[in-house]
Amino acid sequence: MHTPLTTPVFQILLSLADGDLHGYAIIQDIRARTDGEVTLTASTLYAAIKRLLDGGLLQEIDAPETTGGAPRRCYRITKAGRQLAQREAERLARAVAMARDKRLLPRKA
Amino acid sequence: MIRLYRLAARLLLPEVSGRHGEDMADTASRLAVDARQDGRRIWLHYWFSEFHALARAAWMEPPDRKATPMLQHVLQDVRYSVRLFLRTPGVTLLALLTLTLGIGANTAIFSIVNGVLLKPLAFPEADRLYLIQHALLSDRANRAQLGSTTPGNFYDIQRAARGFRQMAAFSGATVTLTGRGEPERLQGIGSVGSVLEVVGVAPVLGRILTEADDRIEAPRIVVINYDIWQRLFGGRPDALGQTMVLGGVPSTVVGVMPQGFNFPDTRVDFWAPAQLAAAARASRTEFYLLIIGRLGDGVTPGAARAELDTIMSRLRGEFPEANGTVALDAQPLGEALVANVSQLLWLMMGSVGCVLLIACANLANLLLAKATGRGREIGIRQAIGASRARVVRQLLVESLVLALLGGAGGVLAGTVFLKALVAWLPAGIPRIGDASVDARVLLFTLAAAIVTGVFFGLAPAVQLARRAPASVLRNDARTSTGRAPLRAILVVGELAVALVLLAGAGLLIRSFVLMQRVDPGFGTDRVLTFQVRMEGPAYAKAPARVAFVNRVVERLKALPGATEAAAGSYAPVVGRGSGAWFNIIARPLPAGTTPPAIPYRVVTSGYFNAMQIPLVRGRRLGERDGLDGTPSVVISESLARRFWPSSQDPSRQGGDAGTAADPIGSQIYLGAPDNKLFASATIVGIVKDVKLAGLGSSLTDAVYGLNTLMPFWRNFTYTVRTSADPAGLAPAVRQIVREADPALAITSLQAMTDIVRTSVAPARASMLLLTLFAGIAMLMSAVGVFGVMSYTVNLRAREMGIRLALGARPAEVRRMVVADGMKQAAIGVAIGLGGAVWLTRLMTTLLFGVRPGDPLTLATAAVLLLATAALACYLPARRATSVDPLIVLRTE
Repeated sequence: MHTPLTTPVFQILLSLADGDLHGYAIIQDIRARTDGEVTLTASTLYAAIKRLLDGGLLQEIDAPETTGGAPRRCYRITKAGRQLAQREAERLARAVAMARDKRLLPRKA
Repeated sequence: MIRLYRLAARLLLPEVSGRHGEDMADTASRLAVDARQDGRRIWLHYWFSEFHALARAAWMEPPDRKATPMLQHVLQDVRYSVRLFLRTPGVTLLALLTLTLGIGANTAIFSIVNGVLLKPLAFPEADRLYLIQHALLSDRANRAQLGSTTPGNFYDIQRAARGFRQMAAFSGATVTLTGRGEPERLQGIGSVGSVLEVVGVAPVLGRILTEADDRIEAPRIVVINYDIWQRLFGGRPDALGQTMVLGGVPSTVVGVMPQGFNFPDTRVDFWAPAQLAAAARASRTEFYLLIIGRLGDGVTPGAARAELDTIMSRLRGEFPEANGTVALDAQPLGEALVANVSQLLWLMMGSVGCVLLIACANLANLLLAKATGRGREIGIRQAIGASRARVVRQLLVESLVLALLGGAGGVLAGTVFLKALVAWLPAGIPRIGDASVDARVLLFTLAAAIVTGVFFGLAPAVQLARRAPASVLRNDARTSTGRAPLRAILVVGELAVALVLLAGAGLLIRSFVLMQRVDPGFGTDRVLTFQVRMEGPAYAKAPARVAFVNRVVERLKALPGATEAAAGSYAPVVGRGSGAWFNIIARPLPAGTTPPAIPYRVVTSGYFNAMQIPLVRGRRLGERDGLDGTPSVVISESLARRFWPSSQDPSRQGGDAGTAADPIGSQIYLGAPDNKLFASATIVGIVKDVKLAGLGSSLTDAVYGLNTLMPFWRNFTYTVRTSADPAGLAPAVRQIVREADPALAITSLQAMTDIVRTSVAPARASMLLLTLFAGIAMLMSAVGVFGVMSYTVNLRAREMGIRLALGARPAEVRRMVVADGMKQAAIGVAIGLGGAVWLTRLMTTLLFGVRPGDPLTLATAAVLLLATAALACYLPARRATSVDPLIVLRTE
């Protein structure tokens, strides 16, 4: 998978950056972080997860007992996945810097 | 919803759902629960976006060789098709629009056919229920002549018929409800035995009628329908035990039928026991009951009919005067209820199906034209290894995608059309409330879409795939001969179908026009009419009834703006109404013969003036006729001709009055010897014929007698002739009736012209619908002709260029092109004429004054269609000759 990443893919990687989550939790985390700006559906999420798994960017793990409820599979970001997210973040940061140079955004204090 | 989602995911995203299906469904259902908490709209929105996302994901998913190849290939084909459609949005939109409208119209009409004709009645084992009526012994197959029976016959049939588990009889009873606000008229059923027990539907509240309720001494009870329960009792359970005053008689509500329950017809407010007195139960001369029976277990309809025949032949022997001319007919209830409209509905279904057929032919032509342009593309695909089957499949998938999209649009359009159609159709179509877009309709639409798609897709697909790829690549399409046999066949077929529809519409239009020209026999303009039924103890005695009617008529006459007023037992054109045996006293019939039943009308003295029914001979009925003076009656011209044929001979007119040769002076009575409506009366006049049962009906025989002669009549239609707009008098009329008796309800307050209009409304509706379909068919086939001609002209542009260059005059070339097209049109019209002669025979009973296969109508339809086709040929022909031949030739 190459940068630029699609919004769902990038957001999924972000959600998993600091911990393993299951599908529903990923959607909730993304919605909370983006104030509802990015709301994934189950279809979008799992289509993306499949691609990420195929690309070796995520790995599937059994849910820890503590989550309770129905046994669900959780997802953990792999090293490659973390690197990819990092590359995307840097790309975005460069883009933001360019926007600042062109005064589309306020300069950093 | 979640099940649907799972299924859709498995179909659209097989790989993802194979691996994550459970988690995906689980996540989706949790999200749905969250959304539901925010309200139904959010929930709907959530599912919409979920399915949308699914479709998008399926779209983006690259084809995987490991997955089922067939499905993947089809998906690939679908994707390819959609891309192609997007490349030619105009053509695609046109095709989609045609399909949406065509399939939508079919969906709407089929919904009605399904609701009215196909859905079984909502009664348990409804197919075991039969309606038993009298048929004419001499014409048993004629279902239009079916009629009611007498209580005496009913009880005998009920006792003797072993083949029926249960049997009951009923008649309509319109009564006034009082004591709950304004008096209002309710439509009820008087049940002899218990029709509700035979029907077998449980009430939502309380109980249904039983046979015990029908005993004369039983307490008065009533079972009401759901809507009345809601409206009058607010749907409260304490409605049970409450009293409704129906026709002046307090009746206790004992039960409420479920919502949507209807028996026998469109609108019945209540069911009550008839509680006939002993004399009424024994009557052999009053024909007013319909019988409903439930077949016993294991009894075939044939066996039950045979048994009824045996019973009836015994009844004919025992009561020859009453039953001499009748047989018994048992018809499945479901069929009997809709017998009047089934022919019309099937005609509509057939017509709208034809419209879709023409639409298909047009689309096939469109795709053929496109396909020819795609010859190269397909040639290349075949040359690099695509199998013929693969190419055909691609093309079929294309048309199927188009058709299914059209079908989806058709469901939406159909729902809208259905609503509009139900609102627009004349009232009184039985079971029209059952018409809805249900599973069967959806299945029909799906089938229609698929058949449509295959039909218009197969022709181009096969034609293209048949060609050898090399030849396609070598030749340019332009050098082809210009012969397109398949397209010509399609256009010929289209024109033939269009002509059949035009002929059908033409016949209905002529019928309607002829019907409008019929002289109803009375003056319809500026007449206000309304009904009042005298009910309750105040009208138990004859003098009170006579007094009320005459008082109201006098006050109506005195209204400012009123010129005449009168009352009669029925308004004209609404139906046959009551009839009675017609007996000429000087001509006694041999024993055992049934006298003819003739419609009679109870009228007030100014009736013929107020209705403007002209007098032919003799005098009108005046105040001095009636019980106190010499009883007299007036008869219609057709009745006079029927029984006194020689009196119509002018040389005998004014001859010896009182003899059997002249109606005037003859003594008659109505009814049976033991049940006479009046002892005897003298015919004093003959009036012009009035159409009693509608403009299209030939029923005009009538006997008119004063309300003083026949004071038993309770339900009168009043007519007020006015000098200005009759509607303006409505408030004053209401006031008069309220003053005369506040307990009586006024109904059907309307202008006479509205009554006449309502009587022709079904004919008008079917005429307009069929004309609409025929018009669309004609336009579409013209478009078809135009398309084919344009195409041919394009292909032959080179040939025409050469002809023009060699000195042919443009007019000659034009004539050549038009003649070529008209050859096809003529073949189509000829085939259509044959079809029309054959098919319009099915419409016989819908026609009036014109016969199926009427040459004038057929010729008009043919000329109209040929003219349209000629125009459609001329336009391309003109274009062909308007180009500079040099340009055409240079493009090579």
